[in-house]
Amino acid sequence: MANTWAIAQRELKAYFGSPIAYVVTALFLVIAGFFFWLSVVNTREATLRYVLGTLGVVFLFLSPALSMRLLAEEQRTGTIELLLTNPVRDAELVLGKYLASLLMLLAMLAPTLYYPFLLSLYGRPDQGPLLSGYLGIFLLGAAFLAVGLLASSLTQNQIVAAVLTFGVLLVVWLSDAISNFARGPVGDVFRYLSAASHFSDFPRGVISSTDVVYFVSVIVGCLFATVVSLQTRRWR
Amino acid sequence: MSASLDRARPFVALAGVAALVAAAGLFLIEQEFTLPVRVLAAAGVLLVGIYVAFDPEDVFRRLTGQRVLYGGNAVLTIAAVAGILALVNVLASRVSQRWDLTASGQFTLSERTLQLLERLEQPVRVVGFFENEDPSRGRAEDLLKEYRVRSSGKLEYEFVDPEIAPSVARQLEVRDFGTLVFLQADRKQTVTGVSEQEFTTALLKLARPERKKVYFLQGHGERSLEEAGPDGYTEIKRLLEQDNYEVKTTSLVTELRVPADAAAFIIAGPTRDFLAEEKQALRDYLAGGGKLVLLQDPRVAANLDELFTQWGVSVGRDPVIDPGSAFLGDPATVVIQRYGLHRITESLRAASFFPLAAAITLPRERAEGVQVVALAQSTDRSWIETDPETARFDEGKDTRGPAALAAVIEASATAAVPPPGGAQASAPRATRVVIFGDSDFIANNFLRVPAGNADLFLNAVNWLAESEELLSIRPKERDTRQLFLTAAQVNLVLVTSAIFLPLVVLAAGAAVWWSRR
Repeated sequence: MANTWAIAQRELKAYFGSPIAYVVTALFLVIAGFFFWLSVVNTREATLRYVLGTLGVVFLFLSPALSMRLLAEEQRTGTIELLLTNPVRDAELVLGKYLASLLMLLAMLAPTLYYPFLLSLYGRPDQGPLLSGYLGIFLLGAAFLAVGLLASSLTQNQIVAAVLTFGVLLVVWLSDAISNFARGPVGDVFRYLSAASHFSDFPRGVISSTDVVYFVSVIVGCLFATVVSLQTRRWR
Repeated sequence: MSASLDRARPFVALAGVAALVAAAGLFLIEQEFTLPVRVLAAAGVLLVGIYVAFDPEDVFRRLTGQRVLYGGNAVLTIAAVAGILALVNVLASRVSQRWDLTASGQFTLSERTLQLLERLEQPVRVVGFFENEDPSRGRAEDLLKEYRVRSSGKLEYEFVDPEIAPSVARQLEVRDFGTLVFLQADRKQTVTGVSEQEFTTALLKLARPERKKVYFLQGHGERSLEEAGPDGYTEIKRLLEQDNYEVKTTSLVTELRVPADAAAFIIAGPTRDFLAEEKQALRDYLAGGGKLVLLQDPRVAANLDELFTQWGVSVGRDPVIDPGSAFLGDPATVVIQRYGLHRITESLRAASFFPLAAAITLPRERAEGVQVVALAQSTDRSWIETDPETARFDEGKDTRGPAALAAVIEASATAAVPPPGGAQASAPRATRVVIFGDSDFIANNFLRVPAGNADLFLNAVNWLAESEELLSIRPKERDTRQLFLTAAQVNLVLVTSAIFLPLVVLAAGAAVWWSRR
């Protein structure tokens, strides 16, 4: 447990020590802020329903950038050998890196709390959907980062990791549309895989257990696969 | 073995595997062994076969090497975990729980609707025809999504833009935007408003093999259902039949009793007074849980007030003049833009108008077990005009508004009369009365004006006819929370959100970078 936290801290120090983190976050806030303003102007509704959906798409592009360096860099420079020697277990390394990326996600989302604050200044937003909306976007981001972590563990090249992540996320996000081309049970599987359709209920104010299970499954599955991937590294 | 052939071998293997994977993929998509699938599969097998044939020993060594065993083990472990997760997801989607966090319970469906959706015997398809920018499209989609999830997919929906695909609209006889058509087997039910009340009513009607009957009373100068002229009711009759009701007429003088199979009983614009026996028949009907619609104009001899005095309701003799909401400048035709909160009016978007309507007096206090709701009211600037010659407010004679022009009475039935159809008398039935102070508003020539008149009346009839089934549906107030900002504040939002906030973050980054130098 202590190892996990140590790994996470190390990662976070590296992340917040570099200017990249701030540039990416600032960029994210510019885009998000712009869409927030658009939704205020166009709908005059005290809600984040419309903004959160677009944030999901923005994450699609940004999270590969966040997750790509998590493991790929270590594998390239060889520092991963040091990490993988006892007493750090593979699982602790993976969890530590993942925890760090989750905290990065929270750090990126935190400034957006400014939007509901503005909404409450000029209107009476419904609290429930705000809560469920943030839960949803957090789960979505967490799932994306888990995919990114897995991709990062498969290669030594950060760029390859990022591109791989982006490709997978794109397919998962658009899985809904792809399902139109597949018939029968395969089409149903594709439709279920769509992250967008599992996310869409949260900003409306509805929390569905199926959606939560979906995101948690993706996270658990990817983290497990990452651990296996690191183990195979030993003899690769 | 020549060197070049040697180098080509891995590619042969790769090509063979790729062909097999492509074949498998195509098969999954097409779900059958089409020609391309067969060709690819054959090519794949052939190529892999060639690869193996060139040096079988080498292939064997490769397949059983240490790396492959470890790798295979890894793949199997991951496949097992993936399988477990997939199973968990399948289970989760079967026993899904949903929590509605909205303050107004927008996404919570009533017990009755949930029951209906669970027990759907045949699949239902809903087609919605909306303009893209119409906000009710979003509301309809929200509602339909809940319906779909709760029906475990037995109810499916789609939206069609009638401008892009007019043939679909024509095929389903859809004429206006904002209409939805519910289809089950070979039956169809058209819905013009977005609310749980209307959607579930449509489902109820689809599930019911026979149509419910609606009776219009005759014998006191009421509106004629056969009269196609401007004052007639042929159009509203047609709309009722289109809404899957059977429309019949009856007379209390010959029948002495309201028909037992009446889902709703309508008295439309009586001008002559009623016989004592007729009033008694009506009193019995109401006491036994009757569903009555009364459309009574001002300044007529007909007087049914004695039926409603028990609830403190009476219909006035004099018309309401409302300069605050006049139809095309005529203050005697009152336009109703805001309705009272009730299931009948909850989905109404269009305004309606009443040409020369009487005021309905409502009780001052609430009585136990009785609910009286004003569906439509005139504005503060209105008054009840007692002078037939002039339309001017006379202090002392005329009463100031606002006045109710349409009202609903809900009470529990006082007599234990068995429900129609000979079914067992269950829990106490409810008596429901809808009173309109005017019968013109749904006459043929006024229905020609695009307004909410027809929908208001049809919703009332639907509410009465289905009321025993749909008790549990609460009307939901439209909960759009508005933002109130000046133009300057809007700019403030833009500047602080999209410029200031990111700059703060960048400044933090700069501070960190500076301290590292």
